[in-house]
Amino acid sequence: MRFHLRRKGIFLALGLTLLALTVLSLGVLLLNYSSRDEESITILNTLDRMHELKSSIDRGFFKIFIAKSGIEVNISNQTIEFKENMPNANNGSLGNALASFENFIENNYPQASLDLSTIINEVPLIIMPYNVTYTHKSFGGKELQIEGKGISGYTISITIQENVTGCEIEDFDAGSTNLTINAYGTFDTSCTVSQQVDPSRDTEIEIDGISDENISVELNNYRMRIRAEGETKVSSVLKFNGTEPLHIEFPDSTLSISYPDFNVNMKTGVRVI
Amino acid sequence: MLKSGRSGKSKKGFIFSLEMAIAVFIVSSILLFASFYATKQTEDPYLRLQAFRTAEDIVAVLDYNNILTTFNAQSIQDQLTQLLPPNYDMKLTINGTFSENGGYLETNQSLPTGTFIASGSRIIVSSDGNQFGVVTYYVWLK
Repeated sequence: MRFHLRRKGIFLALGLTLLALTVLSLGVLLLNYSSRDEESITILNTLDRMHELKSSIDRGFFKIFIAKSGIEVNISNQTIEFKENMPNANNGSLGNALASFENFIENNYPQASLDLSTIINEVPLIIMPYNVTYTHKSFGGKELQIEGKGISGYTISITIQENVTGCEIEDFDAGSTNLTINAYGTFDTSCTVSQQVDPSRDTEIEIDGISDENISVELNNYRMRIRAEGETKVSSVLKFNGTEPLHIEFPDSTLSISYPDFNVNMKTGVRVI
Repeated sequence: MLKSGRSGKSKKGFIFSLEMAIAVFIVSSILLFASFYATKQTEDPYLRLQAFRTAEDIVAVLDYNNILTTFNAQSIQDQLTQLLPPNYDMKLTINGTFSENGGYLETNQSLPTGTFIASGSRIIVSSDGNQFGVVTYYVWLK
C-alpha cells in the first residue's frame, strides 16, 4: 500500500513535469520561429522601403517629365505616340528641374544615387517591354532617333513651315512593317505615303518641295532618324503587335538604391510613364 | 502499535503532500517560463509590417490624387480619415521646398505613447515640377 501510494506520487510528479517540459519546448520552438520571422520581416521591410522610394522617385520623374519636357506621350493598347517641336526649346528647363530633383533626392536619401547625365543630354525614352528607344542626338538639337526591333508600324507626321508638294518612300526593300509618312506644310499643303518595308534595310523618305538639308527622314538597321533644320512639329506613332501593356522608362543605370546593412542593392531604370 | 501505525500513515501523507508541492512548484515554474515565451510570440511582427504597408498605400493614393501637393492640412486630414481603416490612426508631416508655410506641414494627430508606431517616407513633386518634398508618415493601431 505504501509502495503503491509513493509510486502514484512519483508518476504524478513525473507526468506533470513531462507535460510542463513539453509546453516549455513548444514555447521555445515558437520563439525560434518568431526570431526567424523578425529577420524575414526586417528584410521585407527594407524591400518595401526600397520599393516605396523607387515608386515615389518614378512618380516625381513622371511629373517633371510631363511639366518640363515639351514631349507629349499618348499610350493606347499597343500604340504609342510622341509629339514634340524640333528643336525642343525645353532642354534647359528640363535639365534644371532634373538636376534639382537629383540633388533633393540625394540630400534626403543617402541610400539613393542618380546618374542623370545621359537623360539630361539625350532624354532617351525606352519603350518597354520592347526595349525600343526614342531618343535625341542632343536634346534641344536637330535630330531624333527611334531605334529597336519589334515595331510593327511607324506613322511619322511632320509639320513644316514650307510648301509641301509631295512625298515618296524610295529605295526600300519590301517587308512586313508599315511605314506611313504624313507631311503638312504652309498654305494647307500636305502629302501622305505608305509602304510595307523591311526596317533592317535602307529606306529613304523624300518630302518634295523641301531640301534634304532642311528635313531628312531615314530608316535603316531598325533605326529611324528624323533630322529637321528649322522649326518642325514631329509626331511619331509606333505600333507593336504584342499583348503586354506599354510603358516608358529611362535607362537601366539611372537609379541606384543601396542598404548595405542588409546587403540589399538595386540598380534600375526609372519608370517615367 | 496503534500509535506507530497512525504516525506511519501521517508520515506517508506528509511525503505525498511534499511530493505534490514540489511537483506543483516545478510545473508552475515551467509553465510560467513557457507562457513568457508564448506571450513574446503573440506580438505578431507581421502586424507591424501590415501597418507600414497600409500607410504606404494610403500615402501613395494621396500622392497619385495630388492631395499632398495642395499643402492644405485640413484636406489632407479629411482624405486620410476617409482612407484609413477604422483600427488605424496616422500622422503626416511634409518637409520640402514648397513655398507654402515655409515648406513645412503636419496633420493634427498627436503621436501616442506606449504603442508601436510604424513610419516611412515618400518623395513628392508638385505638378509644375518645380517643388519637392518628403512626406513622413507615422501609423499605429488604435
